[in-house]
Amino acid sequence: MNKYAISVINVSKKYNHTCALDNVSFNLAKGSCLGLVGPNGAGKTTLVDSITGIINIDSGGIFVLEEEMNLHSISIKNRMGILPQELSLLDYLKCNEYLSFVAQLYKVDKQQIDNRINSLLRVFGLYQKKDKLLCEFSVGMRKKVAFIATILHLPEIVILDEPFESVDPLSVVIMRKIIIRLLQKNTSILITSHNLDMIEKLCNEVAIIKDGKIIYNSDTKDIHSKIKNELTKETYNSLEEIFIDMTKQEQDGDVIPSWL
Amino acid sequence: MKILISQIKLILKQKYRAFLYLIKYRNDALYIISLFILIILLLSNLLSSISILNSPVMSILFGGNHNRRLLISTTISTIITTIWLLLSTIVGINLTQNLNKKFFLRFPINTFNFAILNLSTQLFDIGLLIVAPFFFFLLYILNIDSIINVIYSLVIFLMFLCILICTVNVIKSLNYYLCLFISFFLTFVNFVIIYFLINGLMINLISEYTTKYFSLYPPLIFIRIIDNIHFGNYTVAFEECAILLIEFCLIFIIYLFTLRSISKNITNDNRLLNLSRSLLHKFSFNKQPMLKLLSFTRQEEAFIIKDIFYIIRNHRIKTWFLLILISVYLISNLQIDNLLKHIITISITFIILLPLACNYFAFDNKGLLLYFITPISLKNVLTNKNKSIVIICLLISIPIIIWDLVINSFSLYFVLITIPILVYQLYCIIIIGSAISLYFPYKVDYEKIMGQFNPVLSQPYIFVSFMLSQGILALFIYIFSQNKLILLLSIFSLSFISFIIYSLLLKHYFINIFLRRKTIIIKEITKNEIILYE
Repeated sequence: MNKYAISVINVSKKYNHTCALDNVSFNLAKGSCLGLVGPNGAGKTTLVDSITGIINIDSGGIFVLEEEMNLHSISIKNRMGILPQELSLLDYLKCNEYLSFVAQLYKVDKQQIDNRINSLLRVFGLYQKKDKLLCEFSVGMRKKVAFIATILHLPEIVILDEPFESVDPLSVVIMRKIIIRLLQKNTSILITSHNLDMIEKLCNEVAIIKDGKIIYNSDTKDIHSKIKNELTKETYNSLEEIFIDMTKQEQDGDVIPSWL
Repeated sequence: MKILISQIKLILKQKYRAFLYLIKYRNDALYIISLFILIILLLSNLLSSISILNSPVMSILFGGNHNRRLLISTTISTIITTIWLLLSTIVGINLTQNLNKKFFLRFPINTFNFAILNLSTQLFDIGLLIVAPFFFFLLYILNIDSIINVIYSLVIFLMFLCILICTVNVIKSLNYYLCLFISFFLTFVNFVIIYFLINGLMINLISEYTTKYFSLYPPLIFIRIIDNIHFGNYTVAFEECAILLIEFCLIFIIYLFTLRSISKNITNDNRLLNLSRSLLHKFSFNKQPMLKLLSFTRQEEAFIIKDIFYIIRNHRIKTWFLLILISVYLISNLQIDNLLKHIITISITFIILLPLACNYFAFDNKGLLLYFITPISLKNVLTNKNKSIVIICLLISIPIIIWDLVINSFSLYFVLITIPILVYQLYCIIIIGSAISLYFPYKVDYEKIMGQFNPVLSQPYIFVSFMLSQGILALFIYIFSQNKLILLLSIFSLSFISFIIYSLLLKHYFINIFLRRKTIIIKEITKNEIILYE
């Protein structure tokens, strides 16, 4: 039996001669959490969209739960929960209507729908607002609703594209707790985020993507043993240090304009 | 002061751009109304001209002053002022929608200056700059020599200005559809002012109307219009049309205010809130008693219920419904064969409902992405959407058709002929709706606008294709109308043919196109956000 929940093998994707993904390969083990980080435009969302089947890849293969993933893989999608970066909310449904609609699409047991929705809304402090239209919600609240919709059917694989963006610190803590609970239930999770500290705390594995290539992929616990300077044998203190070191060449972040 | 001037420049630039992109900034409702007004005005002038040239009958409109130059000037002035007001409305709406007030409020400008800024830009409205020369040209060609008349004209000109400023300000603060109504109403007011101007402010309009039109009952007015057209009294017919128009405007404003007050009450009054909740609960996701009878799958049910909620909350569809009622009412007053009247009613209802089907994907907006990430077969997305469109169209059209059957002669033959026509129209709406929404997933609505060219292309496509389908129906009726039984059978066969064409050929073709164009559709939808439900 395959121990990987997601296997990405030599995946490439081009947009009008721009290489968004260049021979990307990595695995996500069952019951583990992989953090995918990278600068803006590195190809994180393209990779997530490829894994979720939203876009077709040019070459390579993506296997999810031992099946090749494509847009028509209904059985796999039923076992996945996806939070896309571009939130797929139906703005003119009320919060509870939207969540019920999503639950119906995932064929969640009818008796459990209300219970699940209400309990999660209470946790995120949205219960009082469940009868409001989603278009009236703030960006952070919409993110929370989309997160609830992602985990409502207790998926085996959860893919979260920038889940902590625009969300208040309290809700981030709640999200983290929920993710930890899901991991305890042997759920496999893939997270993309710019919150490196959170990725380091939450994930067992981390991958850095830059210009469509995976430039670093290792266990989180190995971060502190990675050698920074061969001469002094100095090691990295955090993921942030590795990230800055590996991605700084293009961004001249050290030089701040003199007029500022 | 420098900031103020730069802001004025910026807004003027924006207004100028809005003017240049008028075609792109139009909204279909506004477009229809403006066309409607222009057609009425042009037609009225044409009819007046014919009436005056053909008979020496005194008309109220021209007070016996049979002057071709006057006729031309009336036409020009009414068209120009109509365009002016509509343009101002569009500019006002666009400024409200597109101009980011927060952007200006970030700068160190106090609120008073901001208000002055708004007023000053309104005074320099691009529409005003265009209309002013025409207005003075009009004064010139009317040979107004008396100084009092010139003063009167200037006063009226200032009135125009006030109306313009009020319009823009009202637009900024009120409901979008109310604004459309205001533009519609002000155009009429404008016409009346022109009328006074041309008649030298001397005709006692009120006494004429009180004696002549004692009864303002709409059907009677409509009959009088038909009579007057029949006997060649075109100007009188036009006046009657104007009264009818006012009545419809009043109905419209009552409708809008009722709508607003209801929505206000629902938010403030718990009893109404509970009532609306309990009503909606009957349609809730967990019960769905009606749909259970029709034995849909859970996903289909969810789709249909979701679409019904979307429709309930869509202001535009409410306006369409009103449009259907007005059309049906007008058709019911036509002096034609009852059967033909009935068929036209169904056709008109479906023509008005057509945009609903053409916005399959645009209605869902970014929520469309949901269908790609949830375990729903993409092959079923299109068919589920078609099913919900059919149910919604039936929910809207059946009460209208029943009403039409009741007010016309109700018979078994009428009911029998209604069924195949309804089926035929539903298939037409599904086929055209699928095609349009696949090839123009976002573009059919004119809400968000910059850089969108496809609406212009898709609009004629919709109407041509629908008119073609209606043409086929008309052809069938024309060919087989000699015998009622043959007509009935032929229309049944027509609906059967449409069923065959859709289910055996087009359904799979559309699904394949959907699968092929999915990336383009997602891209189209996610990059354009539309506001349909303000």
